[in-house]
Amino acid sequence: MFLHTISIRLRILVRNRFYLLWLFWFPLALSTFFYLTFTNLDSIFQFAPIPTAVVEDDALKADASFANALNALDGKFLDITYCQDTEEAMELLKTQEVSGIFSVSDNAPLLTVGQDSSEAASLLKHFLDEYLAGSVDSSDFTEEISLSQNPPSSSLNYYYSLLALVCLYGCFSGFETVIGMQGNLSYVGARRCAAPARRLVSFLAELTAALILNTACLIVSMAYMSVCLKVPFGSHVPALILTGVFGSITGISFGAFIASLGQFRTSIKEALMMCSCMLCSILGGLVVEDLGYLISRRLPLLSYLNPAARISDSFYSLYCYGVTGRLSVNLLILTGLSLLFLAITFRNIRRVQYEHL
Amino acid sequence: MNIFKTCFLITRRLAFSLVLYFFIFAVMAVITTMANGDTVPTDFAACRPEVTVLAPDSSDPLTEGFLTFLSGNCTLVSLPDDETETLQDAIFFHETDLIVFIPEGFSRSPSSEKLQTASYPGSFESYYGKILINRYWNTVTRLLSQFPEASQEEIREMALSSLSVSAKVVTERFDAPSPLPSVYRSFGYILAYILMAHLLMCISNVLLCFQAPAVTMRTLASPTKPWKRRLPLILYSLALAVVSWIFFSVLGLVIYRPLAEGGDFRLVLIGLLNILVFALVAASLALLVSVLIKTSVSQEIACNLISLGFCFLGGVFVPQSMLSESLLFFSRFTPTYWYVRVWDEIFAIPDFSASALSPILSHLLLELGFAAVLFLMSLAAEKIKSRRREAFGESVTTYLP
Repeated sequence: MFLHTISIRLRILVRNRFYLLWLFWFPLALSTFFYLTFTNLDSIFQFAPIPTAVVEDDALKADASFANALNALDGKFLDITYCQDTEEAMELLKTQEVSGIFSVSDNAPLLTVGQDSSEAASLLKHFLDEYLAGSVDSSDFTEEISLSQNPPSSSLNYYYSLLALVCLYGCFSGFETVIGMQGNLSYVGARRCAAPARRLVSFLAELTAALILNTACLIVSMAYMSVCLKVPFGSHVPALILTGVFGSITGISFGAFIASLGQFRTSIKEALMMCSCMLCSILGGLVVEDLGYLISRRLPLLSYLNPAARISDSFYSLYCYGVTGRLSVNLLILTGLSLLFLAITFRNIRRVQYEHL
Repeated sequence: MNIFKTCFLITRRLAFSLVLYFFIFAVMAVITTMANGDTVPTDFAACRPEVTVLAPDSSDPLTEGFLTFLSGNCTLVSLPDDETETLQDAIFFHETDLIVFIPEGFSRSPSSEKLQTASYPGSFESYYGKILINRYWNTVTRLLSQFPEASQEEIREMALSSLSVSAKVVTERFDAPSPLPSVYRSFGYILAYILMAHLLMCISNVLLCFQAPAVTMRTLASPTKPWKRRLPLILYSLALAVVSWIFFSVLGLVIYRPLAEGGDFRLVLIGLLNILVFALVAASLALLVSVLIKTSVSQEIACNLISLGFCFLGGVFVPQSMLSESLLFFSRFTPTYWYVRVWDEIFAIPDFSASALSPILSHLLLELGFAAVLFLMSLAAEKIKSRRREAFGESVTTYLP
């Protein structure tokens, strides 16, 4: 009966357009949007000579040292446009053709910049400070090292949070499973209540079918991201799939938990479930990349109880550090949450009897 | 106005779900904007990268001087521990831009070995942070060779004195109005997604009820003209757009207080006008979507994909300056692109002359053009759909002799 129920349920789920839309097409579409818009997010800063205006008036000609220093920097660190007077230079600054203006005022060099304190303005001030301090040395005292297996990327956490959302979307099937068992909420549930079949077996079989399909959709999403969009996941493929399985179990059990709560209308439970999933994903970093990390630093308990944060953190730790204790802790937390949700669900729906149906 | 009243009755029936989504969007707006942006400074402020220094021997005079110099030019960030995972997480999630490891005994002979650094690859902040590091230790090395008999404390004092020389910088604002807090701009950006998603969901949820075949047949059998049947639905959409505009505008003014932070009220007015125009665009889009969809399944997926797609393409989640040229070409055909452009122009406006305001006005008119086109498309789609066989469900009308 167990295998029979799984096969029937799988066929029902595969033919459910709503389920496939959210679990299969939505992650593909959203990850494609991510790819299109996040292309330049990791653009590398490369130094180029800074467009600068220099007011070549009598004051500058009187300060030969400063004039010579500017000439030495021209072409290497600065791209100088010489202006006859301040007004001409100000016009260039207003139209943002130059990032700053060097001039001499009261026998001292002066830097004029626009309202936005751009990166170029900071570098211009640095050059001027070095000139005033008489510094000429330019030895490099630094040596760059890497702390992880793979380099960081600003866009990765969005993809991992999206996969966490896909795992949590397993809640739809868990929700439907429990609704389908309750005689007062569906005709199928009423028929099941009257049938001489063990409800626990059919319940577990339906959850297993949901898990199989959810994991399959997750693997397809990961494969699409990895192959087509070139999103790096690291090299630990079995651990990635295991993380997806644990995440899917958590999502499915969460949906079952919501469906088993109280006597609310189905629409209210659905809205509550959707909003909870969205809130967990937002707090896990789906919308703001650093939010999940900020919460883990300031409110660690909230982060530990957030399944979306645990799932995306698992993918992140696999990418950066491989299979470590951090992954094990996350999977343990997900297991604990799943067991909690399932325990409450069983308690709510077992031995329910109806006066009439 | 029965249909108009019925729309609000249906809205009341769906109130719990809609308010829940409203709440989620409001929370999302506050969270995303709080994570972005501080007030734009009106005077020049050099870049202050966030640097973490790990030095086992921080009591060493030259290392102390290094920390003093960095604290004046950077933001020193302390991390809970120096485990590799903690450090890497801090770099990955931008808590710190640059981590410097100072080995023991480095200051005794700085030129003999290198300082190991870990940073976010290719970021300006890490580049600038390394410039500052090299500046300090170059100065110290030079002083050590010039004054070999001086003590480390004396070298430190001389280095800090030499490095304290700061050039005079003047900021020219060119009569620009007082800027609004940049967190208010982030709120304006994210409002595009929130308004679009919220209005699509609310309006399509209600209008979907009128597409039931029984309701459609009963409405068609009544002696009302087509435009009289459609008008209450359009008025309902407009009313919802205005209510959403008022709610989110007040939310933004109360939470971010752009006027209290010294911002020019004229900029705020233009911003509110931009939000209102975009709300009209979203309402028109919602009318079109509600004509085309048939079930609540397609309604949910359409609302999410359309709102997310437009917002990703328009530069709501990622600044337009970071989008590729090829993507921007397609973005120009979305209303969200022009909505974000208006916000960028509000924050870059040099003055309130006609030449400065005309680009803003033209982009607002472009948004209204989008609203008009979408509205006309919804009317056309409604007309075509009403003449098709499916509009009448399964029944066939025959004339009786």
